[in-house]
Amino acid sequence: MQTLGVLGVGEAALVSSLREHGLALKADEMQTIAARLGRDPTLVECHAFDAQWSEHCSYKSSRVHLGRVPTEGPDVILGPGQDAGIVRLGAWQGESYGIVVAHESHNHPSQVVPFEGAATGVGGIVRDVLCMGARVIGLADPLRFGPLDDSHSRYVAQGVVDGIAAYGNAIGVPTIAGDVFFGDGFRDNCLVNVVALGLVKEKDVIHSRAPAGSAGWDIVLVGKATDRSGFGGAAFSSLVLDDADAQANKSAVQVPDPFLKNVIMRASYRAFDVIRELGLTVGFKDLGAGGIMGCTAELVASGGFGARINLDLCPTTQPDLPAAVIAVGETQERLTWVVPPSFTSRLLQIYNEEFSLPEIAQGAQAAVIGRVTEETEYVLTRYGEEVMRVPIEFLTSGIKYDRPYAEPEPQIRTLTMLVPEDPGAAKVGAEWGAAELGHNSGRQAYHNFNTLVPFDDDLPYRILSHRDVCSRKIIYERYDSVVRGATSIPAGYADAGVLVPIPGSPLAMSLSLGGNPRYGAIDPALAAEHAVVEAVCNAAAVGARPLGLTDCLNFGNPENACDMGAFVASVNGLATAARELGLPFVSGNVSLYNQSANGNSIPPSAIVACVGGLGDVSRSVTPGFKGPAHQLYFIGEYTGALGGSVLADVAGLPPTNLPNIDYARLKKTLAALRNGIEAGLIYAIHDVSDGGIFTVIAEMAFATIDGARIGASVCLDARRDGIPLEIGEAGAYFGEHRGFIVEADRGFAELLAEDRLIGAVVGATHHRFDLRVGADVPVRTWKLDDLYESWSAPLRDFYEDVPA
Amino acid sequence: MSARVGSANVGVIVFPGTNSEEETVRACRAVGLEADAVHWNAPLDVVREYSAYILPGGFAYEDRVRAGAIAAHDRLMTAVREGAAAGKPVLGICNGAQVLLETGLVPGFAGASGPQAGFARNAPSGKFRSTHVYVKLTIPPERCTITAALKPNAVIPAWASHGEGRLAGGAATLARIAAGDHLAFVYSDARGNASEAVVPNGSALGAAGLVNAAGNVLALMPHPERDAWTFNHHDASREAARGDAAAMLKPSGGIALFESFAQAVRQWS
Amino acid sequence: MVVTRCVETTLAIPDNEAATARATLTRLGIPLEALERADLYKIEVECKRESELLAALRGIETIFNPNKHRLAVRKTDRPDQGELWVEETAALESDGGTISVAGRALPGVRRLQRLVSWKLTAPGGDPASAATVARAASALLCNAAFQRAVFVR
Repeated sequence: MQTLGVLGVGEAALVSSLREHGLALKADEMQTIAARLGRDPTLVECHAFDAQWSEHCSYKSSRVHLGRVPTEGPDVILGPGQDAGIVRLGAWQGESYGIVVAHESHNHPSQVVPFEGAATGVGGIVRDVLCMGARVIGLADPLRFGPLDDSHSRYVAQGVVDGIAAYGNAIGVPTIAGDVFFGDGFRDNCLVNVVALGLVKEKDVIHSRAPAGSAGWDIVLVGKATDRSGFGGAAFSSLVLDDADAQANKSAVQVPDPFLKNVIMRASYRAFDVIRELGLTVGFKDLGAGGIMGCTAELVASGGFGARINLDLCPTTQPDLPAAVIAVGETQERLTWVVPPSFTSRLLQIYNEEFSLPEIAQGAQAAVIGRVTEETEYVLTRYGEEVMRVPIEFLTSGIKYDRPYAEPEPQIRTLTMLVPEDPGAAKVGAEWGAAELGHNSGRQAYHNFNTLVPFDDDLPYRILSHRDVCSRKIIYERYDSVVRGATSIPAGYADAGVLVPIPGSPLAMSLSLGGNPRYGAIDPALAAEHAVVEAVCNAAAVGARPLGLTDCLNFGNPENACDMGAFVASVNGLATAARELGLPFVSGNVSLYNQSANGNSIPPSAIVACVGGLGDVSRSVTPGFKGPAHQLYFIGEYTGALGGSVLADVAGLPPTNLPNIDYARLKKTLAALRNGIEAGLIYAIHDVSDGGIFTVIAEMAFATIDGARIGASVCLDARRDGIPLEIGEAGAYFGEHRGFIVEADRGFAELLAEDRLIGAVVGATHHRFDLRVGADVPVRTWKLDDLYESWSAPLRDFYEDVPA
Repeated sequence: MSARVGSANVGVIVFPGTNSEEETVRACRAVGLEADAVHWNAPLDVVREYSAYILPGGFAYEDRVRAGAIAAHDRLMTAVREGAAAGKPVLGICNGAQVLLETGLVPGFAGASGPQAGFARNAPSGKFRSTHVYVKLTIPPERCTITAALKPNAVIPAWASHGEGRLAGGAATLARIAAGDHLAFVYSDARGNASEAVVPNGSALGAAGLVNAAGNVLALMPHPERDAWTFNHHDASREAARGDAAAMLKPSGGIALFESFAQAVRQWS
Repeated sequence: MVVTRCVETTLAIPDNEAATARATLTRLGIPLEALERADLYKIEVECKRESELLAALRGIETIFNPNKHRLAVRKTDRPDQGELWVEETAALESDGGTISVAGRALPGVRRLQRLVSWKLTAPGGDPASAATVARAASALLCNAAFQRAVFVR
């Protein structure tokens, strides 16, 4: 049997032999392994540890920090630690229902082979949810691409959307939410995050661990026959990408088969039913990083057992596949069960006969490959010989680094510092209630900013056609957002997607996202707080109460102190926001080494998803205007900071500070929304984010139902509304104030009157399809048809421009 | 799977790759029909017992060869063909509609065997598109047993969610479809106005649905079952149900086609 | 100088589509020893840019992913005995600009047509006869309503 010389081998020789075998483990890590085993490891063991101790599997750089994030709360059924977390949605007909949520990245593969990288990303996350015993009911995809004038970024942006569509549509799971941002920082490393949702009765949850007393039980592998694809995947995702790597690593990306997955999902649902009828407790886990070895080792280790797996029994596409490839190759569409031997033949019958897997894809099947053992060793055999025997706890607990990090220095330059006092500037710029302003310094700053960034007639078009603001309809339409018939608000219709997952029940759930890469580049900690707040506000905008959060932390190289510092700061930011809002993180994922060979790391990107609950779907709210002569309110907090805003980008301003978050005020704002909805006073809500209040009102007009053409007039008043003067008129209308625009009845004003700070009427809807700004006569008017064209053209033209 | 088959019972055929069986069964039950998801390994004799069939949406057999092509020759289709010949109502939705065109059951010109038309790749994008649409009944309702209980010119909301929904065929075939009252539904706006602008896929004749010569087999590309409850809607009916859970959970909109289908099933059985 | 090149990609992993098609044809009374499927790209390209074109095609993963595809340039741009080419979409023609596929520009390409190729082997191992190819086309492999079958008659 082949071993790797470690003991007594010099550092340089070891480094070169690690490279020769395509192993990403460091020499000292390998020495630790050999020392513990007391011998040179076999090649299979080398590849096993390479996968299991990779950043991807072991969270070795991130683990020491992740514990700071709150994970407990009254709505948590299952927190982080297994393949997915579960929050409690509510009870219906005496049964308590949980929403399973999992969140992952597939960044590296998607940069190299966008279509298959993105498709397998969806495939993997779906298995994470499925193996909790749940029906898979929804998907969401936060995406970050390089600029579309870059040819490879165009290729990636096309391929990723095609890949998500091809997979999600075929398995019949609706994509109900998503977001897309473009930026220079994602040229060499796109981000493809995926979120999947499942529905499960609380009593029916299946855990990804071998149950108590399961020594001697069968380990059953289900799915596609193992092939050469996806060998080295876990190690690959923890590498810095350069072009040569990218070519070589194409073979580390797996080949997706959504059709087979569709059938495996349905067969697994059938297996769940039978298991419940029989009252069995079983273990079920998906195969991801580390393949058969990674899955079975974690499955039995978390139950306190060992395992003995015979690789000869694993179905393969070709004979004589090397043991290491069978053991750790990441062939897609596979799952593993731990079941009592008395149930094994029934389980095999479901997959192999009732759902005829072998006829659907050549080599696909369910097969017994080994058994759970009492001894806490993990053993693999091939052709009768032990090719791996290691202490299982040593294999699965991995290693942990407390890497040095440099605390980021957030950009704290303010606008006032940016705009020097220039007496001449005061004479230029629009008059905007300035005569009534009492204090001179603010007035000066106001005029100065109006000179620097005037609110001219063209500004709305430049904002609405901005890459991070313009319509995403052309992308959303590529995804089936309504299959299963349970969709109440599809992707792109509102700030969050909404499902009515239990037939006959008014219980509904929302899924929303947050994470602004323009913010991340300025202040990682505060950006992470904003990511949480944005996801929560997006849930609130459809009328949902946030139940739980997930995160995917996408960062650069943890061995670089600045990148590591940004990561640590972001974790702290997530923890702060979650604690302030009293919300738990129930699941998450870390993706590091998002860095190109020339040292460019992505902007710090903490991406957050929020699962919300609605006790009654009839209380859900959509953003489209419902009628004329309704009042428009802004509720929330005006900011004097424009850092990271689309306005700052359009105006070419250098980076300035991000808006602060006043949690007390935010909670009052969210309470005011809930009360307004409860009292039946609210027609429409839209969260204010990219592009500010003007943009949000335009989008509400674009979303008007039944083709009714309803516009609005809006007038912001610095003194009345308490808008910081230094952001000027453009900043008032396009600054990214934390809050909501609400279309409501007059009664909402009375409800708000109890707390004047929370918000006020800023406009009204009307029966002409235009948007009017200002109090003076004549007001300034933009035709909504023109704004719509400007908003809908950029991505439509990009995605329609390309032949299939 | 091998449930007892009652009189007004609909077999919703599930091929490997089908993905819309749950909402289709739910829509049938909402209009008082019994319905089962009938799995591809079900015994043919059991399948023959049903009074009507629905071929639901999805990607049967992964759209191998062509959308609908393999399923058109599936073992279970023997029962569906026999049923269609005997006059049982047969409804194909989306992928099911593609299967019906691949079998040749629709448009089912006299003397023809094999496909006479097809649903080809969407134009101009060539890509899958999922978008809300309305379809308008363009035949006299009684021309098709499945639409007989609809009002003339009925407009039904639905979702077009497909990559291959463009009716394609030779000029003579298309003329014959139009002339022979085979064109059951066209895409329209909410008020029933048909125009090129509302056709989501470049379909010839603006066709959304075709019926066979005998009037008992309907192939409909968009999905009415995905806009069949008030909570699915994004029109005035949703706003009217605001704060009223019972109203929000009521079947409406796309359910109209299933109500009419139910009448056809009851009449047959 | 413009030459016509026929680039063919086949699956290096099990081809479930071909296996299902063969099983269905057998059930329809057209048994075959083997059935192989390929994607074909019939391309008119400027002579001097031919090698660039091949490199570009190899860079488009949905056309060629070394993980699962084999790519070859065929000797002729016509089907061989036993082959059925199915043509569905019109060729892309360059109007002076570049033709791009999946967001990637294809250098020097004047015209590009995609086809699907089926290679039918009769029981016994010989290429299927023209009659068998014609039957397989009309029974399953080609919907004449919107596809065109090309084979040696």
